[in-house]
Amino acid sequence: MSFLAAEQLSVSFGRLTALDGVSFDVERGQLVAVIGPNGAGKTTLFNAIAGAVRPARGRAVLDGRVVSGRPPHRNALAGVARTFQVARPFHELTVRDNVLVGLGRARYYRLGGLLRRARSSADIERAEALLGDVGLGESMERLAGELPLGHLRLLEIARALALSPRLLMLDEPAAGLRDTEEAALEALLRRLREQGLTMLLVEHDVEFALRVADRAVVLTAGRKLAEGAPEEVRTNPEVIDAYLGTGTEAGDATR
Amino acid sequence: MSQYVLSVIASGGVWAILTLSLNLITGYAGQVSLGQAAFFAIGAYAAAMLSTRTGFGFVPAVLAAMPITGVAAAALGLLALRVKDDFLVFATIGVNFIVVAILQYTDAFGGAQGIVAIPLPAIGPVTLQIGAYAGLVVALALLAGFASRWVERSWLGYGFAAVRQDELAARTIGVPAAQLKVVAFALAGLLAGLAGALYAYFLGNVFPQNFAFVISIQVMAMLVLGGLGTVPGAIVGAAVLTALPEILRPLADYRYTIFGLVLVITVSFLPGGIMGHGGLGDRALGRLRPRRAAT
Repeated sequence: MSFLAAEQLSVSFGRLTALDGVSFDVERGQLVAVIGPNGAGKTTLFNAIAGAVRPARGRAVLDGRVVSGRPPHRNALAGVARTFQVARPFHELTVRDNVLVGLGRARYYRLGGLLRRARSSADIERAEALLGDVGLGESMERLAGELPLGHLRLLEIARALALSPRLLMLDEPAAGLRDTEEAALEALLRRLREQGLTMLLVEHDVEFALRVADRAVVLTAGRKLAEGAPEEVRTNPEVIDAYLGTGTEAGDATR
Repeated sequence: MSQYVLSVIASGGVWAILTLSLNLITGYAGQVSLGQAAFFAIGAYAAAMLSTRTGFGFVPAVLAAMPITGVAAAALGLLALRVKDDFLVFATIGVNFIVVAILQYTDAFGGAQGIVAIPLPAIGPVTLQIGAYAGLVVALALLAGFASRWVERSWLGYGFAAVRQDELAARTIGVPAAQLKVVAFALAGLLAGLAGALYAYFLGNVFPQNFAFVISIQVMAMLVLGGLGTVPGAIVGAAVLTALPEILRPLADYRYTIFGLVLVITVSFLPGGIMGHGGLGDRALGRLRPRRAAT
């Protein structure tokens, strides 16, 4: 059985079927990208796996444990970490404290843990190490609300890594980034992959997704259209068709 | 110091404790409550009834009023999980009116005649006159301040800050938002119960109208003026708004007008309050004002 299995996931909003029986697998240590045109159901799929949206049918299983339809904070404890398409840092906290919140984990569930002083030197060291890893070592004292978008994305990743996740889910991390910021993000994802972290990436920017991913799942109109290695997906006629119509390279269809 | 000055100090200490209680829910956890007088009432009536009807002494009555109010507040916190933001404000206002109405119309709680003839506070054989009582109340207010600072720096405080700023993001990184909100209400209940019990012994008689909705507004004005989310702010705000109507005696009749004005002016022009640190009060109060675009 694979590490993460999406099994026949379906999600409806009223009469609209946003996701219709999507299944795919992610092996341990892989980076899998979910791509597709606008409205294909990428973010819905993401939310269904992360527990933010309850699937009407089907389920997502991470290493033998059902994660779909479960409260986000429970999933976080079980090792599912995620970032948001529109960055959601804690604006009034410093960059370092944003990561510290994530290091609290199980301590939020016990009275003894809750009343313990946060900011132990061990936790601060860990937070600073994580921020160094993602390239925010210079900004630790700044308020998160003052960071530019590219840094917010990195901060969200650092905050997610504070959970020591078994699965990191990234919702359009490259959206709105400048070229240099995108390059920094790409380098970070490669490093995390080398460290053996399993990642699921939802991405509108097809070129970016296919550059960093081991495998890609293509969605269109709520269904899975294709799945495979980046090269297979890139040359799949159905995928090319879904993006821009026959005869155009999928690579041009990043907007 | 004159009896008058001492009694102003004692009441200032009571308001400081109640403002610290509101600060836990609204300042730290970001859940705007405009019904804090309801918890204040429960604490005051618990102490008043234990002392006049069951013969509890001052210390046991105060110590019992705290958990009683804490449990009541936690129960309300559970209900409040169903509503958010503006609707939570309306719900807490409603609770304030309901509690006052129950006290007013239930004979068991003394009805409109309230609970009268609460004995003077005494510790062992020593009866506390107003000077000693003022000292005790101020000491307890400072203790409540230190306890609040402890919470602020603990994992609980970090969890509250995360929930206040972005509940979904908080849950996503493992912060159990619902549980922490209930904890915030429970802790605020403990402090409101303490404030209420001390107030009952200070007044000697309690009536439903001592806990009317304007009291909730008054406490919110104290917190916002001082600085939402800060312990020094809660204490300074309570001190200033306790002293102001006394210093400006001719204005004392308009005290609730003053509190309303203070609330409006502070929110509009000094959102961080007197002791506030950059924008903190501003953000939590964003819930009471038209939403601004997120940055």
